[in-house]
Amino acid sequence: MTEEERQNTIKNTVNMLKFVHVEVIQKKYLAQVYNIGVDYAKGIYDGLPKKSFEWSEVEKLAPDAHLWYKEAKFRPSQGERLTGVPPTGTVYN
Amino acid sequence: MDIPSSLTSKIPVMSSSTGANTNQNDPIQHPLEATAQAIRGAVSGEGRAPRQAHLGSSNEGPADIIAKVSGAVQGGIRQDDSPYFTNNEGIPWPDAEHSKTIGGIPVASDVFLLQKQQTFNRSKNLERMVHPSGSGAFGYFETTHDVTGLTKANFLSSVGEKTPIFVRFSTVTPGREYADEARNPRGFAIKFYTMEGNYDIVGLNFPVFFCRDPIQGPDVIRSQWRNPKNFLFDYDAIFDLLACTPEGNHAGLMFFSDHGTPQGWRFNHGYGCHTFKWVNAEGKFVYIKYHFIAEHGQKQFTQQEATQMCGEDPDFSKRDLWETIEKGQELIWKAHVQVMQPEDADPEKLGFDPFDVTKVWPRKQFPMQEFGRLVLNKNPENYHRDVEQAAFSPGSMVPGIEDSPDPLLQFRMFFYRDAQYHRIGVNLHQIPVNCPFMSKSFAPLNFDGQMRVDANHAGNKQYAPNSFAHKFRPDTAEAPYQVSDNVMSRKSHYWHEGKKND
Repeated sequence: MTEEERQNTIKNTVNMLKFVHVEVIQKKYLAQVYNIGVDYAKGIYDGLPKKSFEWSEVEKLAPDAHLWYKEAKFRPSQGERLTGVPPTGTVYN
Repeated sequence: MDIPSSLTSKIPVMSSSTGANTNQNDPIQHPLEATAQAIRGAVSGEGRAPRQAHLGSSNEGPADIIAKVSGAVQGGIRQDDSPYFTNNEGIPWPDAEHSKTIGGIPVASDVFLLQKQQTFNRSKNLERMVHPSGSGAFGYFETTHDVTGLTKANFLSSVGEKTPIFVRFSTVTPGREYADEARNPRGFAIKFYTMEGNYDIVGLNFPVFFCRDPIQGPDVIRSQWRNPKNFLFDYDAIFDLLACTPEGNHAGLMFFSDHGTPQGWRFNHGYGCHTFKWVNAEGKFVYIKYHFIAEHGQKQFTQQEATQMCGEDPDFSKRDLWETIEKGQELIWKAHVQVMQPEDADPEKLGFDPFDVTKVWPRKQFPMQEFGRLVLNKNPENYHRDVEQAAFSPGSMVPGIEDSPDPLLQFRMFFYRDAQYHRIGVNLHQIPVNCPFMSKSFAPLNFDGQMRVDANHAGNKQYAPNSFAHKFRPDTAEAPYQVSDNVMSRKSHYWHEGKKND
């Protein structure tokens, strides 16, 4: 992504995020974006015309954002994963 | 199993000239096949005699119609040449401006008035739940590189093979008549009319999607729909879903970038998004990702330009595609695949999940390999017939191309057809654009249903097996593959889940 593309992405995001009525949605969204790129998230935060929360709240939320709504009971824990390999023996006769 | 030649080429298709969008029935490309088709047509009495009139295409079957519309067959009568207008029963229509009346008051016995109004009242199809706003074009796919070591797919079996295609572009979540330049992904759906049936790739201009588990599919779409309370755009919902779905934010980033407002349908690359299998003649398979790279490059509007275009020309993308092709320009996308050996397709080895549709494969590790090109060169001839009723399904795969363990792909293979059976009906294969007109064989074992007008059973028994005809293809049974465990549960198999790298 070039710097211009990056700035456009920030601007485009701000233009839609500013319509969000619920503060916690803005914070949580920025926390997810923080985990993609801190500068990217900060750019969006700085661009918001009205801010009702501190940047530090986003920083506080970000470390666990990748776990949200991933119910602990269902997370992979015993090597579960998607694979598809040829069977060791022949299947069809 | 070898297929007896008597079972192939059931549908005679006219030979193409050099400008046609196929060469699979051309004497130069396939001399034996073309000769056999011509002889069979001549001796069976099924060759179509020169027609006296267009007859509203009612004396053509869907295969005849789409062969012409796709550009695989050139010439022929394509426009109304009837001497006078009629109603749907062929009865002459008396006048354009005067209903039948008693003392000036319209009467219910005016069948022309009633049929006109009743047809109008029912003239719009149910809108697609996703991708309702779109347009498309016909052309061909040409195989440019030998990939027979990787796949036995008939249309990829030799360099130079030209297969007719239809491509439909779309926005995803705005309604049917919303402005084309809305911020959204763009649908990039390809239908290949191959000699072993219709093959659909139902992709996007993004290589990734917003969710990976099918149970979240409707949530992603509804988060971009309108607020159910007041029908306004629901910005809370768009951002809330992304805020609560970590894996959706790669697609989210693309959504908010200028890739969300590309310049029309044209200036986009296309992606198959999912991982698929290519299976060769020995039954060995590899995993692949499709990339269709626009020869004319990618271009995007800025937000300001896109917003302006929404007002200035709400049909910008549709108009741009239509007019470019009307001017005689060809649009070309180079087709590439990334290839992965099944033994390597393990996130524990790779450090990323190759079957997670929210992730991409690194191109350095899995380089792009060119294998063909998509060429669009022909506009549809009737929007409602050729575009609005087009039906693509990720489950419509041909021998040599198969599924992968991608859970979203697995479910899309079912539910696109389900949506279309609701929107169009179970006999959607009779609509020309959906008809497998190039297929060597066409003998469906699904019968009846509303508006079934083709041969239906065609003399076949409606049960199988039976003692009269047994023409199955065990050679096309899918390549077996072994998955990671045999436990049924709701336990996640998404390797990235709960990890920072999700």
